[in-house]
Amino acid sequence: MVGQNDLSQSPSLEDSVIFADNPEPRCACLLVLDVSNSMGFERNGEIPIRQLNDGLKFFKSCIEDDTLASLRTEIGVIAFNHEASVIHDFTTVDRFDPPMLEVSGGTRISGAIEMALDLVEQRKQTYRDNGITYYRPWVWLICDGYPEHDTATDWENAKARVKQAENDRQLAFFTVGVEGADLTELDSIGSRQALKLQGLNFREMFQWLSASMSSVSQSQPSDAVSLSSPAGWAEV
Amino acid sequence: MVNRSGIWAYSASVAGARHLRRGVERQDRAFHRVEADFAIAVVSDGAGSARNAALGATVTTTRATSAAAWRMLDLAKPPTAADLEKVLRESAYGVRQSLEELSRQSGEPLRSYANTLLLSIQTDTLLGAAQVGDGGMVISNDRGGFDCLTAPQHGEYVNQTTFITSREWLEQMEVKVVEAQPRYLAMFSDGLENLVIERATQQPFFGFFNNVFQWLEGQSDPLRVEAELSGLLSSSRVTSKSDDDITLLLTIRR
Repeated sequence: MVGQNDLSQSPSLEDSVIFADNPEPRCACLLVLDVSNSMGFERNGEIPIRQLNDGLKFFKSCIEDDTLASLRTEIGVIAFNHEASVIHDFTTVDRFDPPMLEVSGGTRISGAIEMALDLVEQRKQTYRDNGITYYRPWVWLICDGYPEHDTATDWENAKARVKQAENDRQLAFFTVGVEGADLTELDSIGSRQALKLQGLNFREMFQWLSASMSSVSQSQPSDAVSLSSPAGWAEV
Repeated sequence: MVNRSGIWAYSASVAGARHLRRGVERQDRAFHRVEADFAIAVVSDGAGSARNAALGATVTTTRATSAAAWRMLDLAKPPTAADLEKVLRESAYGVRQSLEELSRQSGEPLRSYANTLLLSIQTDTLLGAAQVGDGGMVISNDRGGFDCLTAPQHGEYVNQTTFITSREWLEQMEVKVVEAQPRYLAMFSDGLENLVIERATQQPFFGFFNNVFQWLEGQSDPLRVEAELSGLLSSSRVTSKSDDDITLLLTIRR
């Protein structure tokens, strides 16, 4: 797989300039994307990975349309099959270069979850080190399979960690199942019900995610951030 | 009323762009009262999504001012630091009781009136402050600079704070009394925080406060001061950085 796995980053020199230049509070949005072989299998004449790649570009343009959200939303991407890799570290949308994902291998979800939670905690630490305030980060997991290469212990540990992180309000974890996914397994990950993607409506999903990032990243204390219904891209 | 220490107070409060877009009224409030021996100033920020937040903020500012004023007028002169601390705590408690009473009478939940409290009392020799929630207070020091008198209270996330209607308001309330007669005091709601407090150091931006108070030194007409402050807070330079309600209250010892 393309990318790097190094989570033991030292403070980056570049960060100091980035945060000085744009001291707006940040809302981290980490996409955890399934790139296993099955994401390359055709469904009704469309190939999921192509739609997902197209959706990522669309996501960037949607956020760019909102000036404040584009200063505050930081997108990161983890891709996973039987291994997980950080393929795009957190950046604001101006520096987000939508990756072109390619499929290979099987599915191991727990490793991607563990990496995602570590990456989010690390990003929050970077914000604190740079005096940047922040909103509760979002993790957005998209998967079309089941914990194929996860040991029972790894799978249970990863799910327990997500539940604990949500209970401690460390992050908000969302799971989206693409056709073919084992929704019962995906449902058991966090405290929210997994959403089933309608067809391959990745564009609509990313439009919704972008609108949600806009709401969150402009919310004020006590705002109950109201998210619109995911009907239109999810089967609800 | 002419204050013996020459304290004058001015405030401006404008609706944020987000409120205007949603057709929601301004939920920030500011109120002050200057007596011969003391000056009281209050700023309150009604919580964005709380249904009755604007009314809550009005109750907070007026109730805190009157509660503090009556207690100050009753005190033996000159008041001690302990006296002032008691007045601050009792006034905050009075605000909380008024909001609870309002909630009982209206049948609306207490949280629907959610708002923050920033209260300052200045005498000839003392400065007292009480704060629940975000926003802040900045004073001039004798080195020609500015210090934060209280710190904005945020949780881990920037969109989290405590309100006077919160269960934990009493534990979270910051109360401070110092022997100081700062020439300048500024109180502001969180809409202005990004612009006037340096995040990394949590120190006031010298440029902002220095300019505002230097300008204020040359002003004499209160109506004009408040009109120009409103103009500043509504200007694109400010609103491009914050789409929330913005309130700024200034006092000066002339």
